Amino acid sequence: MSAVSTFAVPHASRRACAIAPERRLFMQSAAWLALAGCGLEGPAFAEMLPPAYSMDDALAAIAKPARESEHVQLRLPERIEDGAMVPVTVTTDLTDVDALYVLADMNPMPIAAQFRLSAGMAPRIAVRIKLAGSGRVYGAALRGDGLHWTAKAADVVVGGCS
Amino acid sequence: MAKPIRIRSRRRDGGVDVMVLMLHPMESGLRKDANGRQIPPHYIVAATVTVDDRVVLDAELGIAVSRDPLLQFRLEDAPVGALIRVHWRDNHGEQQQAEARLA
Repeated sequence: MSAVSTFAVPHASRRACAIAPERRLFMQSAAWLALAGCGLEGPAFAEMLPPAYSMDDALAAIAKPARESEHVQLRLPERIEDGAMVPVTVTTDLTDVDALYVLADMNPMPIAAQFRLSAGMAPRIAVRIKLAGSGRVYGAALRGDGLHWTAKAADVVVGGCS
Repeated sequence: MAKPIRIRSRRRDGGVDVMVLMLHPMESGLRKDANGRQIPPHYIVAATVTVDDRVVLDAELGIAVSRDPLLQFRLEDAPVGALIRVHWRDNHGEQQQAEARLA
């Protein structure tokens, strides 16, 4: 991954221009992740921020309609000492669930993990994820009638970037 | 040498709770080593679980998943002794697979 060296000034590098737009976005997002998680912020770094995404857009991109639902439950520690290892459980009492998602609005990529379920699998998954800092973690269930989600505040003491 | 994939299952209330541990650095590519050099990204991209050759779980993972991914899920419908197989593939093209008999 020698392209990683262009993180420093992605917009000024000729190599960065040769990189596909979605890849450049990923690299810029990754740079932001490193900075945000390491506590560096402020106007000097504003130009390095990725285009802001809205969580509503990220959820709608999975499926429409995307609705907040009390039928989806998210388990998350109240206080997270280590953002690099956050246990999350997504469950739902909905039936005929096709997939479950874990998302986080403080990470550069909204979707942390996704799980396609078959019949015979309980609609429940536990996974450990990294959170770049405090924010909201989302659990979502996808069915034929759209996406059903819930969210909880994550209070992260040390971000999981490094 | 630790097994790269560990599978544990427990039958409870008519279903089977399964725990899968996949040893993997899950490097995001953003961390630096002691010399300040970027540690290259190395992470599981996808993991699949089958029971008696039928896919039950298809997971897409990535840099937001912690080192040594630990997945826990529940099968409602699996017979005792069914063959559970876990397979993962990472961004280097490396793959691993393990299997076990369900409780």
